[in-house]
This record gives sequence, structure tokens and C-alpha cells, in this order.
Amino acid sequence: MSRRRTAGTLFQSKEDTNFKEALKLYESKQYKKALKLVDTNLKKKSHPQSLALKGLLLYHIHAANGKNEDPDNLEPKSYFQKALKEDASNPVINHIIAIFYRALPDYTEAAKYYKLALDNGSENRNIWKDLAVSEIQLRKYKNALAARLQVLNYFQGYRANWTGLAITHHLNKNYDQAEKVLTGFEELAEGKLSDPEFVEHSECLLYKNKIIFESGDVKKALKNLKEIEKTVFDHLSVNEYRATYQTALGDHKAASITYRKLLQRNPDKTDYYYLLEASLGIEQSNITKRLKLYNKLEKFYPKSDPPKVIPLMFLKADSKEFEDKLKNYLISKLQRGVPSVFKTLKFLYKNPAKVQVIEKLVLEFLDDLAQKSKLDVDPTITVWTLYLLSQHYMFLGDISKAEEYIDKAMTHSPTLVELILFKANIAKHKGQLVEAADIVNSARLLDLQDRFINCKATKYYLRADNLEKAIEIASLFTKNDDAVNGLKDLHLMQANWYLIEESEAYFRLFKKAKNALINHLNKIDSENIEFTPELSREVKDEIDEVQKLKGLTLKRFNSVVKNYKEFENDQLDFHGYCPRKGTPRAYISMLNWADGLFNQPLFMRAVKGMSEVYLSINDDIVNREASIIYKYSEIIASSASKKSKNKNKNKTNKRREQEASKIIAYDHDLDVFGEQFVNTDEPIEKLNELFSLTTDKTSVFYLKLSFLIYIIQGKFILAFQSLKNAKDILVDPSQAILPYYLMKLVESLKNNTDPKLEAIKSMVVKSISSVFKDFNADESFDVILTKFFKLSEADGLENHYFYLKSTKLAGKYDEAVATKILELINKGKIDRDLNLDELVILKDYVEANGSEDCYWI
Amino acid sequence: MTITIRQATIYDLQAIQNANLHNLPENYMLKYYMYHILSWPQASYVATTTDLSTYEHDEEAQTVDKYSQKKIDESKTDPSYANPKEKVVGYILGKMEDDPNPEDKTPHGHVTSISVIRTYRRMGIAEKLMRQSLYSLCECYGAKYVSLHVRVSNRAALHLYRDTLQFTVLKIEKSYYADKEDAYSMKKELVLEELVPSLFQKSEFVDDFEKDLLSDEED
Ligand SMILES: CC(C)(COP(=O)(O)OP(=O)(O)OC[C@H]1O[C@@H](n2cnc3c(N)ncnc32)[C@H](O)[C@@H]1OP(=O)(O)O)[C@@H](O)C(=O)NCCC(=O)NCCS
Repeated sequence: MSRRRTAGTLFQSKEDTNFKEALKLYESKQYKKALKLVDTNLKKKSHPQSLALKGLLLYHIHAANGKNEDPDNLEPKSYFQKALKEDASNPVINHIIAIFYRALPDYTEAAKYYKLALDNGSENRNIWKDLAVSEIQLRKYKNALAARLQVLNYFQGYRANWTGLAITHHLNKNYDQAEKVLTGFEELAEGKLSDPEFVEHSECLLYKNKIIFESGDVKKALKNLKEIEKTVFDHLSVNEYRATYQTALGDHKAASITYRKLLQRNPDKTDYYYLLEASLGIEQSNITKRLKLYNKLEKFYPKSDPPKVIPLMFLKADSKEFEDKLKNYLISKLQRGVPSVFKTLKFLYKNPAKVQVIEKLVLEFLDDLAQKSKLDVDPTITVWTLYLLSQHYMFLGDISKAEEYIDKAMTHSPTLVELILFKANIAKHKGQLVEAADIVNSARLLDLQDRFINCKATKYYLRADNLEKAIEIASLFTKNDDAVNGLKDLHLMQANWYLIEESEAYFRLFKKAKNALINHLNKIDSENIEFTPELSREVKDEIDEVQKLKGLTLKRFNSVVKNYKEFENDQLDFHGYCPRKGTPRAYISMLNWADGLFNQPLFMRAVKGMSEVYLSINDDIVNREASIIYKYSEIIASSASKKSKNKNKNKTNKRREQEASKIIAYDHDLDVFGEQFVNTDEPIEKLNELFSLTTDKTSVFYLKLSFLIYIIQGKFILAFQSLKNAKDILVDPSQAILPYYLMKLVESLKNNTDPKLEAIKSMVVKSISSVFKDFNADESFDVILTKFFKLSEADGLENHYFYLKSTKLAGKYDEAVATKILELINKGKIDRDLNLDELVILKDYVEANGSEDCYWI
Repeated sequence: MTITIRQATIYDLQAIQNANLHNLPENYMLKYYMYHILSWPQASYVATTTDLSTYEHDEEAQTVDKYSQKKIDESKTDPSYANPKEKVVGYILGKMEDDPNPEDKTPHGHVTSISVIRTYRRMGIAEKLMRQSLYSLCECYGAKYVSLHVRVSNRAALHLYRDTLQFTVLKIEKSYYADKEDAYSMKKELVLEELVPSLFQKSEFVDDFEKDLLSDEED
């Protein structure tokens, strides 16, 4: 006889029990075990929930071996499709799919399936919480509000849900409601809070105060601040808020007292000094009053920097006070051997009269030291003084004097790391990158314990394109485990400084190798050199090397991009965590920070680098027929016999394996060499994808790049629009860049033969003349050139470059300008924020007589 | 350029991470820094060099040629900048004990990491960062003491903690670090009134918040 069954299991199928068990295993991360159960379920008949779970489990199992990085791996999704086909309105299936998309991460899809699960009657109330999180991550604050209202409805007993709802009202700019919700909880909790809850309470009170202020009712905010002051711990915030409110209400006297209190707590915050001045009603031009104020403040806070330095900014260069203050500052720093004294004074170098005073004082001081008997002088003071002079002359562009002083300093102290570093800096400015790196390395060897100097040496080797030495040195401080070097650790620890420098080094190496290859092939071609099997192999190796470097350039730049995506994703856990922990103010800052992530200069630097490569890949595709590299690649491919191909392949594979261990970026990296990036037929699409992450569409960089993309895509109206917008934000409208781009637009219009675009094209031509006065698209480039371009002696590299490119377009490549560019580069006369890469691009262009297109975005 | 000490915000974290990677072998992913700043927003501080042209314009300044201008403005794509006007030269990352079952239930703080860029060392920056952080830990979170670990070979840090800040050595922890080096485990009791940062300016003049700062009379 069988045992009596309970009602619960009576109607439950074997499959359902298995499924439940598998879910439990999933939750404890035992994916493989869970998969076994699910597979048992799927053996005999269909069980749609199991199908969905199988997709999710596969995703997690793939995550452990890197398979998810492969964009062609669609396996998990195929199971979801099957499951949905069988039972689309099953809330459990919807929920599982939502969890998958959240892990992926694809928050739009996640939110969609969470909602479906709820619409299809899921009773799991926690889904509302997850839905809210996804909506906030997507910045869909209205949708998030609806979800958070439900959450509070279901779980009223937790402060986190009240705070979470208030935050969501706040994000919807509904200040009244936000305040009401926070007050609602305060009233409930009145008298019931236990000791550990007071920190959270304090933060929530300050949060509410901030909301009242943001709503515009400053008076109420100030009054509220007084009420909560006793209960709040963070008096720094209380006083900073108070001072702001007092100022906003025009009570400057009271604000000045508050700033004095703030200064007493932290006399090292520069902001406070200027805010105090303003609240005292002192005009910035009233030097007498300011001096009086700062003399007092310096007495109160003798160990702080701002009261000593700010007067150096506002005092007149020829005043005695300036000289006295500067002298005190300089000499006390020199006596204490502070190496950064020059850096902290650099801001004065905009004022030539002040520069002269500095020079005079330091030279006098050095003289005094020389007069005194050796016994009275600490020799290190002399050394730091010489060091300062060297930096001073270097800044003024007097390299030989700079060298003279640093050498003098080094005879006194040959092993002082700072001196050696500056010596290297001078070498770098002279363009001696390899020597500079070796000099820094000699300093590193003097202090092996210090990671800072280790990083300096690494960076100098990267600048000198010596990647092997760079990683060897960097690896002395990384966690290498079983890897041959620290590259994986640098990736894991998100060392963007290293990654960006290495990407740029790869880029330079790629450019160099490509140019060498083209030169080689041109030579073979023009001199009719016999293409022997040996030569063929040699050329093939060169081609492979170029491809490899191109791939690695994109791969490394993409590591930076990947880190930024990771930063963005890092927010996720905090949407739930911060309301629980009770840190709503810091949380709101996080959202704002994340909104600007993809506009950060470092991210742009990576995009810039990648766009150069993607545009050149596009050029290669468009100009395939004319490309000499393509021609020889074809010859090599058709001539090699199958056998030798295989043999070579084996050899190359072995070599590549060895190489791979040194440059592998991640555990389970399926694309060590970045081939996935290079072997694309759609470089512009890839570039667009990357580019669409930035939200600030007003930077010159953005407009330039979008212009280039639009003309490639034949989107002429949009291309024109970019130039129109660029016109409004270019600081210096006389720059050559706009007319050059206009010429480029006109050229693209002319080259385009699509009859369907005729109307659009003539419209664009008309718009050009109406927006850019005097620019007539029908005129010859010759005429345009004389009309729009005026180079002056003082012009920087950028103007020269765009002028040169325009002469090229007009068919009159201007050698004199080309020579001038090389001259400027060699003299180190570099304006704007040029980095080494941009110089390479420039040089390439000039050296190839404009034959290769270099974008320099 | 002045040196500023101020509370760290989320906007500083990438630059802090960058400084940490340049100064110490113990590194963390950004999320761990986020965890600090989003759990104990008052406990971490940064030292920055602040560009004064944010605040005022020197009237005698000439528009120097483009080449020198670039040298003055420095490169903004450098990851050590927290924003175009501020470069992070030092930081302290502080926290409260967050073990759900701590050895000691008394509320207390920890220093996760502190470092100063080499060029800015020995100017008192680390001391100031510590003092601000200790004050906040005590004021905002009621920390009764703070504890930290330091490599036995780290003379600079040892001097800072033991001599300048009067930490006491509790014990030596064998092979505490990944490379097996021993650590001193150190601790300092916190009493709010004794921690007010300006006390350590050691000035005979103290602002009473009443006297007119612009009057001629001497204090
Ligand atoms: C340790 C470190 C943070 C100190 O920073 P700092 O800003 O130079 O320190 P301060 O200028 O505030 O100096 C504080 C005290 O330490 C002393 N000190 C600093 N560096 C020293 C050194 N190398 N040797 C001996 N004493 C030193 C100072 O003289 C000062 O003493 P005082 O109060 O008696 O005048 C810095 O050296 C550093 O970043 N090192 C690398 C990272 C690191 O080791 N961090 C600590 C990990 S636990």
C-alpha cells in the first residue's frame, strides 16, 4: 500500500516539485545541480517554466566561462522564446526572464518583464521593488513612482520604503509630496526610535531640509534647520546649509558669522574664504580691505594654505606687500623642502610682472645661501632652491638654463628622486622619450618601495612605446597570482590611467607599423621587386602585425569604455541599499554623477582614440580597390599553397598563444587580440553605438565626430546641422576648422550621385550660404581658400593643420605650411590639449604628403 | 593654486581610486569606494589643488600665448582631476565597523586607506585629512575609537599615526598583508572636544566670532 498523500502534493506534478527544487538551487547559486533537475523535467514532456529557468541557468553557467561575452551566444534567449511560445502569460516565466535581463544588464527589457509578471497576476510583491529599481536605473522616474507607491502600500513597517518613496517624489520634482512622506514617517516614529536608528534619522531630517530649500521656500528651510539642529549629528552640513540660506535671504552679517564657524572647523577649504569675503561685502578690487582680512585669518590659521596664497593672487605685482608675502611663502616652503612649491605658484605665471618678482627673490635667496658659511646652511635648502629655479626656467622655455640648474642640484644630491624626475621631464620636452624613460627608471631603482615612482616609470615607458618594459615594471606592485604579469589585475582594478596610456601606445605602434608597411609595399611595387616566397612571408607577417596592433588598440580603448559601463552599472545595488541605510542625500548625488559619466574627459579620450581607428577601417573598406595593402593581401592569399598555409598557421598559433598570455585582459577572455573589433564590416555602426552613450551633444568634439559620421552615411542635412551648431560654440570663429569642414561637406555633396538626394543637396547648398555668410558652395575651392583662410604667425598647430587639409582639398597641397607644422612640433610649440597621439596623426599626415586621410577629431 | 581639504563626494571617487592605484598595493574596485561614500558620506576626505581662477581674475594677468596657457591649465583628461579645476592629491577613506557580528560592539571606525601623492608629501596633508575624518566619525557616527593597520616597514605612516596623531600600537598581526608582511594594529580613542581640527593650528589667536574682522585694532 502506498502512503496517504497530503492534499498539497496531491495535485502537484513531479515536474512542479522538481522546478521548485531547482529554483531553490538557483537561489543558492548551485546552477549545475539546478540544471540537472530542469533537464529531467524537459526530457519527457514540455514544462514551459522549466524552459525559462534553463535559459537563466545557462546564462549563469556561461558567465563562469566567459561565454556571455560572445555576442553570438543566443542560447539562453532561445529558451525564453520557447517558453513564451508555450505560455506567454505565465507570471513565473515573465519573472525569470526579467531576472535574466537585469543580470545582463538590459534594464528596459527587465522592466518590461517585471511589469508583465505583475500584469499577469504574480503575487510576488517583491517584484514591485525590483521594478522600481530598474525604472530608476533607466531614469524613468514616473514609472518608478508608481512602483514605489505600491511598495509602501504593501510594506508600511519599514522606514526604507518611506524614504524610497520620498526620494522618488523628489526625483519627479514633487517637493511637497516628498516632504509629506518624510514627515509622515517622522510622526509615526515619534518617541519610538532606538539608539542605532538615530544616525539614519539625522540623515533623513537633513534630506527633508534640503528638499524644502530646493522647493524654493528658503525661509521655511532656515526655520526647519533650527528645529532639527538638536537632533542632527552632522553639524558641518547644518552650518553649510545655514550659511547658504542666510546668504539667499540677504542676511549677510549672519552668514559671515556662520562662515567663520565653518573656517574654524576646517581652515583648509578655499571656498569658505571667498564666501566669507562675499558675506562681509568686500569687493574683490578692494585690496586694502582684503589684505586686512587675510592678515587676520592667517593669524588664526597659520598652518593653512589659503590665507597665505590667496593674497598672492590679488596683490599687485609691484607692491611691497606682494613681495613680502611671496618671500615668506617661498622661503618657508624651501626651508621645509616641499617639492611642490613651484606647482602651487604656477597660477602666478599668467602675470609676467609677478614672474619677475619670483625670479628675483629666488635668485637673491640663492645668493644669500652662497654667502653664508657652510655650517649655517642646511644643504638641502640649496638643493630645493636650485630645483625651483630649474622648473622656473623650464616653464619660461629656457631649456638650457633649466638643465644648468637641475644639473647643479644633482651634483649636490645625486640620489634625490624628485630631481631625477625633473631631469626626465626636461628630456621628455626635448622629445627624447626613450632617454626620459630610462632616467625615471634610474630614480625608481633608488626607491623600490614606493609605488608612485613605479607608476611614473611605467608611464614614461608607455609614452616611449615600450610596452614590454612598462608592464614588467607595473607588475611589481600588482596582484599577479598565476598570471605572467599584472595586466589582468590592472584591468580588474579598473586602472584607467594605465589602460588609456597603453591604448594610445598601441595606437601609435599601429600607425607606425601601417606606414612602414605601406612604404615597403610601395617600394616593392614601384621598383618591380620580385615577390619571392620569402618576401611574401615577410610581408604577410607585417600585415598580420598591423592587424594585431589595430585590434589591440581597439581592445584596450574598449577596456576603458567597459570600465565606464561598469561604473554605470555599479549604481544598481544602491537604489535599494541607500533607502535602507538611510543615506538619501549621498544617493541623489550618485544619480547625478552617473548621469554625467559618459561625458567625462577620460571617456571622451577613449572614444576619440577608437573613432580614429574605426574611421580608418571604414576608409579601408571604401577604398579597398585602390589599397596597396589589399592588393598584396590578395596576392599572398592566392599564391600560398594549402599545405604551407596549414604549416604556417600552426607556427603562428603557437607564437600567438605565447603572446596571448602576456596581453590577456580578463579571465576567460575569448578575444585576446581584439579581432572582434577589427573584423567588422560596420565600423561606423560600431562607432555610433559607442558615441551614443554621451549625453552632452554640445561639445566641439561631439559635433566634429557626428559631422564626419553623417557625411559618410550621406545624411547631409544632419551634417550641416552639426556644423551650424559648432559655429555657435567655437570660441574663436576665425579658426580654420569650420571652413575646412564646409569644404568637406561641399565635396561630399559633389561626389554623391544619388538622384533621389538632388533636392536635399541643393537645399543644403542654399542653407550653407545663408548661415555661413559669403560661403558660396558653387565657387571653386581656390576662391574659397583665399577668402576664408588667413594664417598668422601666432597660429597654433590646429589652424595650420586644417589649412593644410583645405589646400589638399583644393588640389594645391601647401608644402610651406607642412614644413611649418613639423617645425612647430619639433620645437614643442603645442597649443591646446594635444597628446602624443594627436601629434602622431599630424605628423603622419604631413609626412605622407596628405595622401592618407587622418582625421584628428 | 591652493591646497584644499574637504569632504569627499561621489564625484571624487574616480580620482581617489586613481590616487590609490598610484600610491598603494592594496587596491579596490570603484564599487567599494561607492560603498564607503554611500554608507558613511561624512567619513572620507580629499586634498585637492584648487585653481584660484575659479574664484577671481588677476587683472594684471596677460593673455599669455597659447603655448604657455596650456602649461598653466594642465591636462584635464588626466584621471587625477576630480573636475576641471581640482586635482586630487590625497585622500582618506574612512568607515564604521560594518561586520554584523563585530568582535567589539562599541561603535568604532576604521581607516580603509589613506595616501598622498609623492610630490605633495611632508606638508601636513595626511595629518589634516586624518583629523577631519576622525572628527566626523566621532561627531556623525558616535565612534568611540578608530583602528587601522599599517605595514611594519612603513616609517612615514607609523610616524604619522603614532607620533603625530597619538595612536597606540595594540599588537602585531603576523602576515597580515597579501605579500606576508606583518602589520601593526593601532587604535586611538576619540573625544570630540579634543578633536576640533583648528586646535592643531596651535595659534595664540582664536576667532571668537564676534570681533570685527576688518577693524584696525590688534588682537
Ligand atoms: C604615509 C603618508 C600618507 C603620509 O602623508 P604626508 O602628507 O606626507 O604626511 P604629513 O605631512 O601629514 O606628515 C605627518 C607626520 O609624519 C612625518 N612623516 C611624513 N613622512 C615621513 C617619512 N617619510 N619618514 C618619517 N616621517 C615622516 C611628518 O614629518 C609628520 O610628522 P610631525 O607631525 O612630527 O611633523 C604618505 O607618505 C603616503 O601616501 N605614503 C604612501 C601610501 C601609504 O603608505 N599610506 C599609508 C598606508 S597605512
